Amino acid sequence: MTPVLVVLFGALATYALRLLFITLMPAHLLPQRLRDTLQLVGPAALAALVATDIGHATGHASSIWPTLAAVGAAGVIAAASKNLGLTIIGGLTASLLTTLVI
Amino acid sequence: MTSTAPPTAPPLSASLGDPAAEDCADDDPRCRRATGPMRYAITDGLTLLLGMVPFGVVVGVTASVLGMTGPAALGVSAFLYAGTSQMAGFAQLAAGSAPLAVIATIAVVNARLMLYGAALESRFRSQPLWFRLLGPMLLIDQTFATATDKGPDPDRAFRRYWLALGLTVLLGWSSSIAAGMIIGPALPADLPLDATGTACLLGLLVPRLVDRRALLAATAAAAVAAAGLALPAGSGILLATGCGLLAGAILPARTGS
Repeated sequence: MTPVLVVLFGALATYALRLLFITLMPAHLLPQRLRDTLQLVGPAALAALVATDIGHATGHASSIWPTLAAVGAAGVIAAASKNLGLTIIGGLTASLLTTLVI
Repeated sequence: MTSTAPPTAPPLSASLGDPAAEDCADDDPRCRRATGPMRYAITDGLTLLLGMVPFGVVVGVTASVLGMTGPAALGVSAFLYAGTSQMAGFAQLAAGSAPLAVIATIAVVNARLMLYGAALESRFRSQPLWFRLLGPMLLIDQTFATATDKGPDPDRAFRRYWLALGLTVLLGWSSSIAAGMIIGPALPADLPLDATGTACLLGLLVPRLVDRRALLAATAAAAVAAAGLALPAGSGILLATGCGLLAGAILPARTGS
């Protein structure tokens, strides 16, 4: 399966997710308990992804320091600014600088 | 805190020559946007793009590295319209993961869009069917946050605002990806793009750690993900997310004010 086709199927799955609680199963019909738990999908999934990225980076000598620098800078900037654009640019800058130094 | 005193001066919007918005308070963006939803939506969308374009270029560069170039790749990117999941999916593709694992990863990263949909559902409930089917395609972090704060209340105004906002951001986002695809081959091969993707995930995560439930869910998920690194790509993330949800569900949800 080509990368374009894989991303296309990912896009279809994403469209279904977008549609789910708006059109397919309107959110006001869900039990309150389930709605409360669904609020945690974002933090749980994102934390799992960040931990996985860091874990994989530590297995490669060339990527560990740029990744750790990016994570450190992005964590500080995200906590201070809550601005996603700034966080990304800060992380990219830190990892680029680390790559140049190393 | 609410103000109890009536305003003593005309709203700023009135002095700016927007007579239809004269009755709106200066601190009520939703009211003002009801009078000219498309104009305000385009302005709001351009503001959002300031923070999105650099990441779009990075996504385009990464797509180029993977050989995803041309109109088809750009069209698929526009349909997916979710940069973080695209980066996560690209990382999986570059690592040689199985297609199903990549698709699962994209779905997991985008699972938060379900919640955004649930939160915005009341704004879509009485809209025409075509809008309830097509409007959600424009749902991303930025459009959700902006429309929640500033989207006008009347159905027709909200519909126009949402479409103009979403299409403005989509156009800018797709243009930035195209730019990244074009300049990608000219960039050094050892750019730490994976680190940029991780920074993006962190930037989305940190603002969500607003209470003990979210902290517990995130901590549990991160611990399980770290322990499950040896699992097949994607499955460790799914397992970790499930464990995070279970852990967070132990604590009672906030009841709101």
